[in-house]
Amino acid sequence: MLEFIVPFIVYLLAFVVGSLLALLVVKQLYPASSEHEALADLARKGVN
Amino acid sequence: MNINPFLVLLALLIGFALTWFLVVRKVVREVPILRPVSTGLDAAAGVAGVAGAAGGAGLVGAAASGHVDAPEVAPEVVTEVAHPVAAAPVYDWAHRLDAAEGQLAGASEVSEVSEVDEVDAAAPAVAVEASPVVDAAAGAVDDADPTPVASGVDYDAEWANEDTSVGLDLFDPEPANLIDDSDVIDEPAPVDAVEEPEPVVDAIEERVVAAAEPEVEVAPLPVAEASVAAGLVGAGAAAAVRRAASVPAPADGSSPEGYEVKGDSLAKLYLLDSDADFGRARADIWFTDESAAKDAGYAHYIRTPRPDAAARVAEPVVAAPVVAPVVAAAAVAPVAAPVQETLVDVPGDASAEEAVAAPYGPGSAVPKANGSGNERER
Repeated sequence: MLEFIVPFIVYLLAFVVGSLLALLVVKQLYPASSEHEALADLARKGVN
Repeated sequence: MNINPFLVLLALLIGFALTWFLVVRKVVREVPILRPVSTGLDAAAGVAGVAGAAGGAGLVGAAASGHVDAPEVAPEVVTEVAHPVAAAPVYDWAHRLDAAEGQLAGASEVSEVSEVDEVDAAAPAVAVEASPVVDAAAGAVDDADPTPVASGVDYDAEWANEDTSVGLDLFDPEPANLIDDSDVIDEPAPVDAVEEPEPVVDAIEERVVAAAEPEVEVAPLPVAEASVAAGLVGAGAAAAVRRAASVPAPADGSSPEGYEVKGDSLAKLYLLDSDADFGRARADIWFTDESAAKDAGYAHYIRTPRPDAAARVAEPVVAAPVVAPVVAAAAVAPVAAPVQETLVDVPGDASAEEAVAAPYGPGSAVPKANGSGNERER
């Protein structure tokens, strides 16, 4: 049983790490995830 | 308990890719570049932005992100100038971006305006805490005050009517008329709450002006439209003159009185009476004269003969199929000339006898009377 669970958890952790990495990259590339956030960013940057 | 590192890497990559596609697709779907039609939330946000830019001294308007985001953004924007970007409708992303780029390009102008505004904003920044007027303008709902509409802008009513009256107002090029600033200026603030209401009113007034003035600068459309309209008027006048010089062709195909030039409105060509094709050309417009047709942008139709027709005209017709079917087959012109002028060899340098033996070229033969073919003669 342990022989199955541990690798499974390791792979799951790898999946989660990859997802977090993707979220991080997406957040860097696309700071605003919605129209409201985009407008709020405009306001914060002073162009509004 | 053996862990394959490649599988770990694969799981990591799968997680990355899956999350990437899910999140990026969501972002692209939710952040449109251009949304020409304003509906629902956009309309309400646009009104909130426009109303806030002028009446609320740019507090809500600068946020322009609706009811939810306004309070958290507003404190940062208190010292910001009420810019034309905020005054522009939210749905109009192109104008907003253009205005933003223009402001970024002209940094000096922005800094000048900002400095002026910051000086003005110093007074209301002090009064914000005590004045319910500014609280209402900032969109912060004061529970203790049952009527937080001192600024004259009832946001709740606008949100309730967002699909009807608000939508039409968004297309108004002068959004300042949405604001009933008379209440802001004329209505005195509560005496017990505000010791000096004047700075607040002044600041709001100047912000109203600041919100209204750049709108005129940013929106050159009226000028452009005026020039375009003037051009259209000129074109219309020219078209009227053109119409006087031309008439549509009558349905019966007759030529109208006083019009001598045929025109094809689709091809923009005209034919004169002296043209060879004038008689058989079917006109859908008639002009008084050639100059009228030229003024209308029509070109003179000059028939250019096709190359093979030119060759036919240049070379004499040589075929006489009755006399010599061989020659007829070899002749280029399909038209049967009644008179034989010259004999022409068949292609392939065949002699006249061979041409008779092989009337349709080498290997051919004239059929017999019974329809059978000739035996090959070698």
